[in-house]
This record gives sequence, structure tokens and C-alpha cells, in this order.
Amino acid sequence: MKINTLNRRDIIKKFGAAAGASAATPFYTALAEDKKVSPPQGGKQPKRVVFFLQSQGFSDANCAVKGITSGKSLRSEDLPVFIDPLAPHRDKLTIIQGLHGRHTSPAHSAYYGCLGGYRRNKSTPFDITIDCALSKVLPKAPVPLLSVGMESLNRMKQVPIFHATSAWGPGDKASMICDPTFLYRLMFGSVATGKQRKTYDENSKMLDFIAKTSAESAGTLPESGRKKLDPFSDISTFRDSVSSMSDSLKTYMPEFDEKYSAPQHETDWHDAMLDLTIAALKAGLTNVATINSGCGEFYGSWEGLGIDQRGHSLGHLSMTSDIWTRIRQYNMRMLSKLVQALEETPEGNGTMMDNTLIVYTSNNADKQHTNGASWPFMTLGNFGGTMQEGHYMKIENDRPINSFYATLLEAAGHPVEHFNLGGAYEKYDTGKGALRELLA
Amino acid sequence: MTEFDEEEALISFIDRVSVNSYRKYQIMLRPFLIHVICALLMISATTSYGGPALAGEVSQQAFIEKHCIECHDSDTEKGGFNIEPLTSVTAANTVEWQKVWEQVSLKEMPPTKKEQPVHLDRMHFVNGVIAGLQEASKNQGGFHENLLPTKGNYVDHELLFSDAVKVAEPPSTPSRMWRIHPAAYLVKLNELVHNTPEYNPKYPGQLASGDPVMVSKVNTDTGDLRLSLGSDQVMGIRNGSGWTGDFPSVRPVQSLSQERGLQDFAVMYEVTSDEMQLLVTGAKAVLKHMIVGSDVPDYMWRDPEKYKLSRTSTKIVDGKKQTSADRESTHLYIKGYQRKYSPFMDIMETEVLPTQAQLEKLVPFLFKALTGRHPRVKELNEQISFIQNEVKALGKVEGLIVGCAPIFLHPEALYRYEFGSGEPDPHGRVMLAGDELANSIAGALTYMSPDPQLQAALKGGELKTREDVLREVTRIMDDGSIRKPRILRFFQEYFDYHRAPSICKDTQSLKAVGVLEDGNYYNLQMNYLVSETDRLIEYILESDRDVLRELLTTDKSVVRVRPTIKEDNYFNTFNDAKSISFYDNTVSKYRKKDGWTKSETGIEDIERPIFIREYWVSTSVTGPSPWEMLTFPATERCGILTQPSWLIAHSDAMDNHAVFRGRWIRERLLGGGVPEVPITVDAVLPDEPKESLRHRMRVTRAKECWRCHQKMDPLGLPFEMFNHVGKFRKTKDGKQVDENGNPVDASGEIIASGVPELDGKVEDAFELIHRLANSEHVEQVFVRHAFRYWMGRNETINDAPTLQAAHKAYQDNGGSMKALIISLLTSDSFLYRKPVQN
Repeated sequence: MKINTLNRRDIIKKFGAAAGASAATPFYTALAEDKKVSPPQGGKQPKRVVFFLQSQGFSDANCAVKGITSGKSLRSEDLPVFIDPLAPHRDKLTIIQGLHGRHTSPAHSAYYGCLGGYRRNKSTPFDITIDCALSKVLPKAPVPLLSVGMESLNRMKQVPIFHATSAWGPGDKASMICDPTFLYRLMFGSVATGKQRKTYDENSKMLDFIAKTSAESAGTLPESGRKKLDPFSDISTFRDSVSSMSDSLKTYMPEFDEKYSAPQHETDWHDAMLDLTIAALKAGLTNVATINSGCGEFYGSWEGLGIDQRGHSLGHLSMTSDIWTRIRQYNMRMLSKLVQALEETPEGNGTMMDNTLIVYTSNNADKQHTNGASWPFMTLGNFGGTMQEGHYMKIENDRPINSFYATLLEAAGHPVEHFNLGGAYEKYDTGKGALRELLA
Repeated sequence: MTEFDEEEALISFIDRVSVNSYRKYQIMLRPFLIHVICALLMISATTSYGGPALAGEVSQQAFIEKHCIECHDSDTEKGGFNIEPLTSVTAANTVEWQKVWEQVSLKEMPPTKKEQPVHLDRMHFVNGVIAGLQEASKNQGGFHENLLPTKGNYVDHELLFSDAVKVAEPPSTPSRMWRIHPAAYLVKLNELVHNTPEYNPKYPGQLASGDPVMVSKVNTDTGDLRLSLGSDQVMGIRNGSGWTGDFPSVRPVQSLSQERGLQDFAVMYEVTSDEMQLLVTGAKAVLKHMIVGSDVPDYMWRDPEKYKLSRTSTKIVDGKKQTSADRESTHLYIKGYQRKYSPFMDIMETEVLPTQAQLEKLVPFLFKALTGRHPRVKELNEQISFIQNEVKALGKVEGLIVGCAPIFLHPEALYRYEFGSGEPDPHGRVMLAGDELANSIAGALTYMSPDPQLQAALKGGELKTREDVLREVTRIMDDGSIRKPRILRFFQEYFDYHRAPSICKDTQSLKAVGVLEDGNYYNLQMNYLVSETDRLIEYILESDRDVLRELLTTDKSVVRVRPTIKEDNYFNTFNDAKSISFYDNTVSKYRKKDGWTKSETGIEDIERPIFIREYWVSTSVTGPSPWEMLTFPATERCGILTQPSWLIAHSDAMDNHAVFRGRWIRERLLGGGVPEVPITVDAVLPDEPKESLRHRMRVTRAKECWRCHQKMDPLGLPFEMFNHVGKFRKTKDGKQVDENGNPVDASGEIIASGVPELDGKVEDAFELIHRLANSEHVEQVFVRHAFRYWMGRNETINDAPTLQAAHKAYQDNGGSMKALIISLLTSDSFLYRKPVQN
């Protein structure tokens, strides 16, 4: 079974399925090959990262703090109404403005370009995205990337697996799970009770039988055919990898309640997705998660917040409109819940939050029809002491979002000059490497 | 020759060809040459050519020295590219070597003003670079770029269609597993669970057994490919969005790539482990439907006493009229719901557990439907045993569901096996045989398992030779009752017009051209447009004469009559009725002549729903097939490239897209290519909404852009005669103007086509199209695309005989698509497999 399971076959052996894909994997596959992952200096231990991508935009106005200058603490500042639910976490919050993503040509959504820092393309990622790249350098977990999607109920039911924002390399899309019941069973089925356990066991038995049949079939095939049958036996591989974790899984497994089985609104399922993400982090199933509110596209539905309007037309509203304020505050409450959950869970001498970084931005820069000239981010946490927290940071000198991703890599122990800018960095980046002002 | 001897020989060879070289390059290039020569030896081991030019040892080093170094050494570094550091292909410099491969293959380099290498030298150099890239990338997933459909044109056209190359080795395809197309998998499921009507030649527009399950494009622009269980029993859908709502449904596997062009190549797709999870869920849903029926929300059962539906999809509830927006009125199961027969029904007749005999009937039934073959004895016994165990453990219904689901995920239900069998011929090739051959023939044309006659031929030992294949392929092609959706699919992917619904239009831009955007309604119109082009292509294929030329130049259009006047005004793609010069009844067969008049017949009068072969099925469940054939003035429309669907598919949210259009012509008609844009290129036109597209595109005239854009822009700008929703632009004082009143300049030019008689200026799109349609070269490029589609891979130089024979068959038969397909499906390229060297 695979929820973006770390599997060299899946991650490295795949190649672009369409135009524009390059099999050369110039940046990160090579890194994975050499395995020279050095721990960050000074005993700091960044362990996990969570990306939260909101569809349709996140504008400077949404995170504008009156009268503040770059580098100043947010500790005693009033946050704008849009992000006000984060007020209890001001000491962990960093607001980052001044980055650009013009080269991603966003317009509606930058898709893989958001986390990849390259030109928008909804069908084929050109290269690895930062969540997947971090997954390769942070401590390993059975699910290297947990990507979840939130949309209208119909959409989440109809498209339980989607691809839009994360990729392991050129053409190698990472799956986004959009159906919480499906995800629940994938991750916690082995320790669940009742119907979910029954279904999991049934499916496992079936898949075991299929694995056996396909293995017999594979025995008669040449090498090229045998490889294609590997996914048929992944269920047992995954089960083995989590077999020693059953206590942890049981401890953090969410209750399978009506929120999953009989949702009233899509927000029930959005909440369920957040709960599952938190549970997966706590249980150690994953160390990297990407939450896609709007599934990385330019639709989205929040009827549960009393918002009738939905889909593409939401993006035609101002980012500071009442509707977007309600959506944004809902996002922020989710982030707050995530922070609290990690803070209350011990890890080492502190809590999980001590070793975590949460990154909030939009998959489409600042608004629906944008040229990507302004692309604000917010972070929560200090990533195991490697990054600044609690500040407002205005990045000068026209640096691209790629430089922020390079910063995350450096914080995780992997300094790079450029993330996915290739030979074009001079055109889009006035500097090199990490944004030093963000590092601790 | 020992390994040592081989190495010595290589070095000796390298030294020999290097003897007159510059010293520094001799040293510098040696490691690269080792790669290249190894590659050449590998190639020559499998590909022996007869011509003296090939027998001559082509020096890769000499190629670089002669054609590259002058401009790309470290002193000159023209275009910022220095080839000197590229001493060998390594994991670190594959990006640069890919550029070399691309530029030389596409004849971008050497520049036209410089001396050009002969075709064979170029081919050998390119093959060497590919081999180097493959070797250098083997620990990074390998180099496969040359296998992707977008790179098909990289093989030299002139070599493929000339006598210059005498191929000693006959064509074959690498042995492989080809993932079953998601649409084909759905059709197989559809046939299992739904009562699909047999094809009725009286009403060719009706959806019949073997036709694809339609894709809804409403809620997601990437398409929603799924099978709605019980949809064969549904009546009364008039509201499009209702279709995607509440049916229990099955998604087969994730959709194919949404890129432009051919998509279904064997190397491109695998079934991934997360898809396996989805397939399990889908299999269980299908099995449940077959065994006991699906869970259907109560409101979906039609109560004729309560609901009265009319064609405008209003319903009367308690004497009050409700609108189609109420989903409960818009999709209902009919009275007397009946599931399709399957052996499960015999098993479920009584409460006793399934008997051995019943399972011996059930398992082959499912196995045959899903894998296209009978289970082997061992498979049968193991599967029956598994079902019996599950029934014991879980009870009858659950046990049957869990027990039978693995058949839906059998590797051969998801992949078509193409390994061939028997003794290899002297070239190491084996012919497809048995079930593999039958499935390949069926899979080339249909989404179904082999038809009964093909199965009979296989069973009777009459499917062994090329003649047998010719007989069966010809029979299937001639049999109109066997649905062959793969043929239409080829034209969709070749022309790309089916992508129109995925173009998200900006509301203001729609208003500017007189179209009101209203969510799903706009999508509906987009899907109509695709269906219209589908029907036009089918019409042309029916006469099967000069197919490509007809497709490119016909003045006919099939138009779906919009159901209401309001809709006509809403999205009147073609200009007003006055522009219709001729009404042709020749496709009146697309209209149901009896039993329906526009205003009076509601669904109450029809016993079973009639589905129409729309690209999107959510409308017109009942009633006629309302397509009409129109003939337009030759000054307004000219073939597929002037169909609204094609024009919209090659537009963007706000305007025409001359680059998409030009690139399409460059690649699909001229057989050329344009190097990939670097992933960070900021390709944005100036934001000048009042200016014409041509004026805004002045930025591509910059020196660094024009080198590539000259291959596209002058081919795309002639379509400025149309606006971005495909309407022919209006005239003012006898001249066309755009929406801002700017005069339309539709001139263009074919530049550097490689065919001198094609090059030159054109006055407008029509002159451009006619010039291309009359070209034999363009015909050959079309044949190359057909080859790729039906072989599921790009052509290699070894396939030259197949391509030449297919083109000859097409020409000798008056431009017959049927002759072209038959030629391809009886070729060595289709019939023979050769093991892949690991």
C-alpha cells in the first residue's frame, strides 16, 4: 500500500509522462542518490514540516501588521482580522512578505509551480517540489509525504486521489488524498475497529491474494514486466513497515464518527482531514504533510461556514471580502488546532512543535488573477531551532519563492544555492542560497 | 572477442577516427566517444544497415568538430552554450546534453546558414547522444524523453520516407505490458453491469454497446472519468450537474495525462499502488451492484404518480412546478429497474451457498470479461477456492464480493501483455500469438474484449499468421456493429479539439465576444462543440476518401441544434443563420425521424432511455439525436482547424493563442518541433487589452525568442480571422475587425518547414490550410502520428518500411483511413515483439 510511500522504485524510477518532463532529475534525485545527509549544526533537530496551501490567493493585506518594520517581533502586535485566530501563537508566527513568483506565471493556480518554484503546469511537474525534497532530508517515516485535499463534498467523493501540487521529480506526481474515509482506512485500518477494520481486513486479504497471483504471473515474465507488477504487492510492504507501530497508531487514531460517515457539510470532511493529518504526525506515520485547501486548484467550497458561493467565482472576490475573511479565519483556526496538538505532545525534552515548521501560503500567490509579483508566506515554529520565529520579515532585493525553499533546505541541513531555478537564477534571483534573515 | 579485446578494439577505433583531430579535443572527447561508440555498437548489433554511408564509420568527434566547436567552444560560447566541458555524458550534465540532442534532432543546429550534416550522420550522432544519456541516467530513472509522444518528430522524416536507408532488420516493437486505457477498463465494467443496446445502424448517434463511458467535465477541468452504476436505468436528466451527483460510481484508475497530443503510450503509465486501493473499492462497488444492486437514494426512484417530467426537466410536485435546478427531479431510476444478467443471479436465486458448478461458470465469466481470456486450470481452482473460503468466513454476499474482487485487479485486467511466443526468428523477434494477439487486435480498435468471431478464430487455430490477422482486422473494420471508439479517439488526440472544455474562460472575455458565462452552462456548450466535431469526423470517415484533406478543408459542419431559442442566443458559435448557405440532409440519419417532436414528448412515453453519443452524456437522455449538417461559405470555415472546438482548445482564458495553434501545425502537419521552453521562462504578453493579439505578440520578435517563435507565430496568427470562442469575426466596411475594432491581419507564413514548396507567405488561414492539405509531406506526417497511436510508441528508423507501406496503402486507396489502419495492424511493427535488453 502506498500513500506516497517512500519507495525507491516509485520515486526514482519513474519518469515524465508528458511533454516538458525531463528524466534528468537535475536537482534532487542526485541528492537522494548520494545519501550524504548531514545533520544540521549545533545539535538542532528539525524533524517535520507541514505546508498549508490555500486556493485562490493570500494577499499582503491579509497579513499586514500596521506600522511594523522588518525584523521586529510580533509578540505585542495586533494581527489583522484575517489571521487573528493565530494571536495565541504570535511568538511562533513569522510573516514573510516581499517574495515573488513571477516566473511561475500563476493565474488561477501555479499548481506544481507553487511548491516547485517553476512555471505553472497543471499536468506535469517539471521537477521535485519542496515538500518532497524536505521529505528526503528529514527523518524518514513510513509515509514520506502525506498530502491531503479539501474541496466540496461531491468533489472529494468523486476524486479521492488527485494530483496538483506535489511531485517527487520531473513528471512524478505525488498523490493527494481527498476522501477522509479512504485515508482513515489506509493509515489506521490495521488497528481500527468495527466496519473500518473489517473493510481493511477484507481488502488486505484480497490484495494479498492479488499479490500472490501477480507474483506467480511475474515469475513468467521478463524483467521489464516484473517491475510493473511491483505495486501489486505494496500492500504487504506498507503493512510490514507499520506493523511495529500499532501501539502508536492505536494511541493517536481519531475516532471514526459521523464526521466521516455522514458529513453534513464539506467542512466536516475538511476537519476530518486535519484530524487525520495531526494523528499521522503524532503517530509518526509521516514527518511531512501538505494540506491543500481547495485541492491546489481554483475552486473550493465552504458551505459549512455559511458561504453559498463556491468554486471559481470565489476568486473574483476581494481577498479582504467578508467571505474570504471567514474562509481565512477558518484556515487559521485549523493552523491553531495543529499547533496546539503538536504543543501538547511531548517529544524529546520538549514538544513536537519544537521540532516542527508549519508553512502557510496560497497555491496562487496573492489573488486569483495575479502575475505572482507578491507571494506572502507565514510560518509557525522554529523547525528544531533552525529558523527564526515570532517576527515580521520583509524580504528585500526581489528574491523568489525558491529562495525561501532553499532556506528550508538549509535549515534541514542541506544548503543549496538555488532550488529549481537551474540556469535561470540570474534572471529571477538577485541573490544565492538561503534567506539568512529567516535562519536562526 | 573477449571483453578486453573489445575494449582494445574500441580504443583503437577511437584513435583511428581521431587521428586528424585537434589534440585538445581528442583528449577532451575521448570519454564521450567511448559512450557513443558503445552505443553505436549496440545499435549496429541490432540494426544493420545496407547503405555504404552507414557502413562508413561516422565519427562523433568529427561531427562535433565540424558542426559545433566553431561556435560553442569556450572562447566563442555562442548563445551562452559551451560544449567543451561536456567531455562525456554524466548525471551532472544531462541537461546540457539533452539540449544538444534536442537542437540537433530538430535541425536547429547547425544553423541553416552553416553547412548541414547529411541525414545519416545526424541520425548517428543523435543516437549516440541518446545512448549516452541513457547510460548516464540509469541510476536516476533512466533517460526516456525520446520515447514520449512529444518527441516523435525527432526521428528524421526524410530518412523514414526515403530509400536511403536499407533496413536489414525488419521492424518490431519491444516486448511490453501496455496499461489498459482507463476508458477501456470502464467499458468492460459497463458491459458487465449495464444493459447496453446493440448498435442500431438506423440511429448511429445513439450510445451503443462498446461505446466509451462518457467523461463529465463539469466540476473539474481535468475530467471526471467514472462509471455511474445503474445509469442504464436512468431517465430524465436534463440538468447537467445532476449527472455527477449521487449515483454510486466507480472510478477506474486515474485519468490519462491531460497534455496535448497523443497520450496512450505503453511506456507512459503504470498502475500505482494507490490506484490499486481505488480499484479495490471500485471492484467491490461493481460486484455489489451485480450481486444485490447498489444503494440508491430513495429520491432517485421515480414515482410516476408523484413526479411528472417534461422535456424541459421541470417536474410537477403536488401540483406545483419545480425547476430543473432541483436535482431530485433531474435524475431518476425508471420503474421496473432491472440489472443486467450475470451468473451471480443464478447463485442468488436461492439462499444456499454457491455450488462448485456455479462458481465454475462464474469465474470464467468474470475472467473473460476482464482479462479477455479464459482462466487457466490452476487460476480457476485457486480463485474458486478463495471465493469459497471468503463465503465461509463472511457469508454469501460479502464473501462473493471479496472473493471475486481480485479478478478485477488481475494484472491482465489492467495490462495488455505483449511478449509474443514461439521460436525467435533470426532477428530475435517473436510474433504475438494466442490471447495476446487477439487482445492486441481487439484493443487496437475497440474498448472491448475480443469479439466472438475473433475468439472463434483463435480457438479454431485460425489466428496465427499475418493473413489471419488481415482477415480479422478487415472484418472488424467492415463490421459497423462493432464499435471502434479508438479510431475517433485517435482524431481527438491528434487534433486536440476535445480539450476545448478544459479551457477555462474569463467571464469578461466571454462577454466581450457576446457569450454569457454561467458556470456549467458554458461547459455544456463546450461539450456540444466537441461532439459536433466528433460527428463531423465520423461523417468524413464514413466516405473514407481523401480523409486528411477532407478533414482539413471540408466546408461542412455538423451542428447540434440547440434545444431552445434561448440557447441559440446564449452561445451561437456560428454566426447568424444567414451565413448558412446550404442545408444538407445527408446526415439526417443522425436525427431520429419518428416518435418525437420537439414540444410534446416527455420521458413518460419512452420505455428505455436513449443515450446519445455526446462527448459528455449528461444531456439529452431522451429524444432525438439533434445534429444537422450545415455547409458554410468557403470564406468562413475550412475543416477541423476552423471548428470552434479546435479554436477554443487552442486558445486561453482571454484570447486566441497563436502559439498553441502554430505549434500544432508545426508538429502535427509539418512534422517539425520546437525546443522545450526552459521551465523558468516568463512567457507573458503585454497587458494591453485594447490591442490586437498580433500587436501584443511583437515581444516574441525579440532575437532570443524569434528563433523558436518563427516556427509557430506565423502559422497561428492567420487564425485571427476567428475570435477566442471560435466565431468568425465580423466585418466592417468589408474587412474583418476584432472586438476592439482593430482591423484583422490574418496573414502568415510557413518558415523552415524543410519542404521548400510549402514555405512562403499566406494571406489567411484558408490559404495556409489548403497549401498544407495538398502536401504529400503533410500526409506522411499524419501517417507517422497514426503509427504512434496504434503502436503505442514512437517510430524508429527500423519502422521505415511500416510507415512507407502504410502511406502507400493510404494513397493507393484514395486516402482511405481504413486502408491505413489495416496496413498498420498487419505490419511487423504491430505483430512482432523483441525482448527488451535490460
